[in-house]
Formats: sequence, structure tokens, C-alpha cells
Amino acid sequence: MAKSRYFYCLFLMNTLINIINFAPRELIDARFDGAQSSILVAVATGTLFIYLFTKVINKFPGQGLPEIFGSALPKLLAAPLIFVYAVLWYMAGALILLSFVDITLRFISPDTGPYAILFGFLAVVCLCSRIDSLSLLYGLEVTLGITLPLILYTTVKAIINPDFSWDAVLQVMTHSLHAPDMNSIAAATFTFSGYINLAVFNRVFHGLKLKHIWILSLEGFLVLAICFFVPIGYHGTVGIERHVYTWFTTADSIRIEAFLIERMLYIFYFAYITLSLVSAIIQWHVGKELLLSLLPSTAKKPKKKLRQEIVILVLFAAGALALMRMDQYDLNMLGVFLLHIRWYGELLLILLLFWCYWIVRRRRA
Amino acid sequence: MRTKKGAVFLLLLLVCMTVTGCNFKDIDRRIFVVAIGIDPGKVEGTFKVSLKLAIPQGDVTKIDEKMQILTEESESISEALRRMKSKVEKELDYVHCKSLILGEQIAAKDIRHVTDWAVRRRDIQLILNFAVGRPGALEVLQVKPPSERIPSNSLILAMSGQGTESPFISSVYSYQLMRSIYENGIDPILPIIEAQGEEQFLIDKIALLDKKKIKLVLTPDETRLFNLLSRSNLRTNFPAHLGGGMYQYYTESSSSSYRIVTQQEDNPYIRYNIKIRAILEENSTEDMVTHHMLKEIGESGAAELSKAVTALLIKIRDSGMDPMGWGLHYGARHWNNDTEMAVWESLYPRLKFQVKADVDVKYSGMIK
Repeated sequence: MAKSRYFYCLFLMNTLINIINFAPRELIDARFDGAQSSILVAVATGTLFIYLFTKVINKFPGQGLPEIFGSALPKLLAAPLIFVYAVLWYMAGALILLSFVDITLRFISPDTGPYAILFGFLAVVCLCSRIDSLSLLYGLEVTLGITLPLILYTTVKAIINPDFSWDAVLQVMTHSLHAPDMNSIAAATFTFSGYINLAVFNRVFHGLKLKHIWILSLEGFLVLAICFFVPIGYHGTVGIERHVYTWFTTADSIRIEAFLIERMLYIFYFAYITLSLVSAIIQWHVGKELLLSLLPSTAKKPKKKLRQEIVILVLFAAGALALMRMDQYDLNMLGVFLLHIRWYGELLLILLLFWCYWIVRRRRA
Repeated sequence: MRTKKGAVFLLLLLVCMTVTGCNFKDIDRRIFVVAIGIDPGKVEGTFKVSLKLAIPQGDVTKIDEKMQILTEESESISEALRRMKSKVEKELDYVHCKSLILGEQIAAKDIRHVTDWAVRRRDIQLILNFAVGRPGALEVLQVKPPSERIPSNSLILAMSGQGTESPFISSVYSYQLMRSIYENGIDPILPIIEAQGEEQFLIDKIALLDKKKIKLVLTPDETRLFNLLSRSNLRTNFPAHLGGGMYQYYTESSSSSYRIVTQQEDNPYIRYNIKIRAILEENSTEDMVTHHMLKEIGESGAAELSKAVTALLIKIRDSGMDPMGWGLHYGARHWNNDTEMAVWESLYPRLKFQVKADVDVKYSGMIK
């Protein structure tokens, strides 16, 4: 049984991971047309989603999505739903991996082949996503313990740099009076969607007690503000649109004067590769568990379970390899598409859970 | 069961190793580019690219500087670099490149092509120092000061402020250059490095650019004042004349801030506030310095400073460029986003300046 603080770890992981790719890009694209108000809307809806989801999932202590759907919904409805959600989770993990292959190629090792890097990542992620849920949470906590100080260091160092252009940040602030923009909301709410992993991880939480939900919204808001404004301070209100990986170029623009390494990029990369691999592991773990629940039961047959897991993970890896064919712009389009789908998926999931709760309670009464 | 799993794992690892192994080159098969110089080529529209290479050596204590300069002309920078690969036996590595020198003729025509290239290349850092080389980039690369032990290190130390803290040097990183090229309401600047013979260079001027090419070059004195306004804690000395005597004070700490005041439509002005804490460093008279004199030195120093700064600001305004980013500052404090830049354009030529300098000479030095 896991303590409630692991829920905060899951949440924190997701807020931090969204800095690397799609969220800052979508927000920055809309910096003159409503990204700022979208951030506020996202903080409100994100917090509301967390509140509703944790409320309803608490009614099913120790049960994951498959068990809840299995007990409340007809099989014909439950199975396709779980399959769709499994694909969503799988895609989220795969996109993180693909983005990181791209980032590694660009910033760290231009000479290495992309498939070599992907094979390395896949080996780690596939092997680790077989670990049981509770151990994954412990691992996540340790990883956060290592990477969080590095990320904080990067952020503080970025903001206290005298060459940081506060005027550019204020200039973008004066463009705040716009209606929110749908793409930006979808990107910004992703910051808050760490809670959704409870769909499987709820199996190890028995009676989740959430105190101070406002801390989550405050943290999410701060991360969003930093992830949106800091790159603008470094690359200007107009120049920023020319950068692909805004946060990695920002880290590359920070110099550490008194240290062994001069470029902040390496520290930032180390922190984020660790975090994104763990994040991909967790996403694929959830995806794998959801798919396993659709296959014939394997209770007390570890060999059969292993075979099923291998088939699923090989399919996952093959899918990631197939997705490697996309170029930078395709990848971005798929990412934005997924951000939208995921948001509607979350909304649907919360509604479904409330419906399940209603069915179960009526049956009991 | 367990052995089978181990075997699969080992096999996977082995596969990974064979895939990654083939492309990696060890340090003894690489040669490091420490500085890039770009001049116009002989034919119109071509580039003459020069690379300063550092040759890795083992023992740091017995280092004898070894470097090599490659030059190649081509119509594109990338083509020139590829051709240079045939001139050396090792792989050229740009990861440690710290400076890019633009020849003065390039900077007089268009810097955007080169900037775009330097930011786009994935293996070149964004904390790369940009500078203009006079008379050309190649001449600057060829300078080899006797005090230098690692190739191009003198340039790196001077530009980064890790070595000398000259008040005349301002460093511009490639991300800053990129930012001010595209930003509305700020114009780029570049430091100028002059090669003086084979063994010495001089960095004491900055060039103001209009997004594209050099429009104005500031004198060393103006450069120092520019640096005083654009960064805090500039370590320098300024003169103060009192009676018949000349005094020099050293700035222990300095700060400056400004406000754009546009309440009256017909009389917009910028109010600069400069605060300096200083120590007396030089006294041309034989008089003992009293408390009263210390105050007077501060006052007359402040008056001289504000006069000089006002002259510089008027010169910058009349050039039509905005190296300080006043336009961006104005835009950042106004919410009429569609019209603010047009309003600023019409305000800018009419701007007046009020410079309030506050020099506080705290000590008279070791003697009175």
C-alpha cells in the first residue's frame, strides 16, 4: 500500500515533463493571442479535474480502471473503452521517447544513429515497465529526488541571469487581454494530468487522502508560468518562434561560470532524460496493465503472464519504431492532436467513473 | 527461467553496443575548432571562412601552444566547412567553439545570414561570443599574444569577463544577437576586436547595428558609458575636475535605471538615474583631501558624468537606433499593443534626456 505522497510524485512528474516539448511550443505559438488567459483557465480546470477524479476514485479503494469498469459496465462497452485508453497511454509514452530521441540527436550526440538511441531507450523502458506498480512509485520518488534539485538550479540560474530580458516578459504580459485559445488550454492542462495515472496506480492506494489541493494548483501555475515566460526572456518576444525545442535552447543559453561543466545544457539534459524515461516507463506500465486486463486471466500462471507481457511490449516497441518515420513537423502535429484527445479522454473518464459509481451504489442499495 | 531472462538481456545489450559503437570517434581522432572567422571572399557573394584549431595535448604544465588556421572560400559557409574537412586528418569538432568573428566587411553588409547559420547549427553553442574583427576576421584569429598558453584562450578570457574585467568590453552571445535582431524595439550591438600586429588585440569599441549592418561605431569613452548604462557594477574610473586639479575616482559599485516619461505628448523624455559608490584613486594636486572636498569631487564628477552621458544618449537617438531597448521597454509598459510601436516610432526622434548622476565618493584611498 502506498502513502498519499506518491500521488504528489505522480503529479509533479507530469508537471515537470511537460516543459520539454509540446506545452511550451503551443503556449508560445499563442503568446500574442491568449496563451496567458489559457494558463489561468487550465489551472482552474486542471484543479477541478484533480478534485473530481480523486473524489470518485476514492470510492473504489484498491481498484484500477479495469476492475471498476468490469464491475459496473457491460463487457461489450468496457473492453473497447479500456483498449482506447490503453492506446492513449501508450502514445503518450511513445511521444516522450520519440521527442527525446530527437533531442538527443540534436543536442548531445549528432553522430549516433537515431535507431541506436531509440533501441537503448526501448530496452530500458520495456524492461522497467514490467516492474510492479508499487516499486515504480518508489523508483519515481528517488528519481525526483535526484532531478528536482537540478531542475530547480537550472530555473533559478535562468532567472537571475542579468542578460534575461524582463522587458520581453513584460511585453508579452501586456498581450494578456485575449480570450483563451483551445490549443493552449489543451497544452496547459497536460501539466495537471499526472493524476490520471491513478487509473492503474489506484490499485496500490487504499484510501487516498489529499490535503491542500491548492498546492497542486500553485505548483502547476508556477511551472506553466516559468515554462512559458523564461524562454521568451532569453529569445525575445519575436525571436522565440524560430526555436524548435525552446527549453533546451534556453538551457543552452545559460552559462555556469564556476563549475566543471560550462554549459547548463548537459545538466538540464541529464535531469530531463532521467525524468522522461521514468515518465515513459510509467505511461507504458499503465498502457500494458490496461491491455493485460483485456487478455484471458493469468492468475497463478506467471509464465503465461510473462508471455502476454512480452507480446504487448514487443508491439509497443514496434509501434515506436514505426513512428520514427515521422519528421519534426509530423511529430509536432501528432503531439498537438494527442494533447486534445487526451483532454477529452480525461473528461470522459471522470464522467464514466461517476457513472460507474452511480451504478454500483444503486446496485448495492 | 532466470538464465533465459539473463540471456535475453545480455543479447539486447550486445545488440545496442554494436549499433552505437561504429559512429563514435575518440578524442585523439578529433580536432577542436576554438574560433571561427568569417570574411567576404574574393568573388562577390562568397565567404572566406577561417577556423582556428586547437591541437589537444597531454601534459598541461608543459603546454606549448599549438594551433593551426584553416581558410577556405566558398559561396556558403557549410560548403567551406565541408571542404576544410579534406585539409585535416581528424574530424573537426565545433562543440568547444567559443567565439565567432565577423569580418568588418561582412558586418557592414549583412550579419543575419551568419547569425542564422550559427544558431541553426546544432553542435555550436548558444553561448558563443560574437564580435566584429578589424580589419578582418582572419587577422584577429592570427593574433597570438605571448601570454597565451591555450589557443584562442586570450580571446575567450577577454570576451567572457573571466579574465580581464575591462570596462570597454561588452560581450554578446549568439542568443542575445538573435534575440535583438528579431525583437521589435531593440537593436543589436557587437563588440569590435582590432588586431594590432601579430601579438596584440584591442577590444574597446562597440558597433551599433540596425538589425542588419553596422551604422555607428562608438568611441572607447562612449563604449564605457554605454556599458555603465547597460550593466551594473562596472569597474572603471571617471574623472572629476575641481578648482585647477584633476581627480579620478574608481567605481566600487554602479547601477543605472531609467524611466520613459510620456505624460506630456509634446515633451517626452527619458530620465536616467545613475548611482555610483566610488573611491578616490588619483589626485593631481598636492592638497590633502578633506571631507568637504570629497563631497565636492563627487558633485563635480556627477556633473561631468551626466553631461557625457547626455551627449552619448543624444548621439544614439540621432542615429535612429535603439541599442538599449527603450522601444521594448516602452511597449512592455503599454497595453495598446496594436498601436504602441507606431506611437513609439513617432516619439523617438523627439525624445529628450534627463540624466541624474549620483556619485558618492566614500573614501579618499589609503592617504588623505
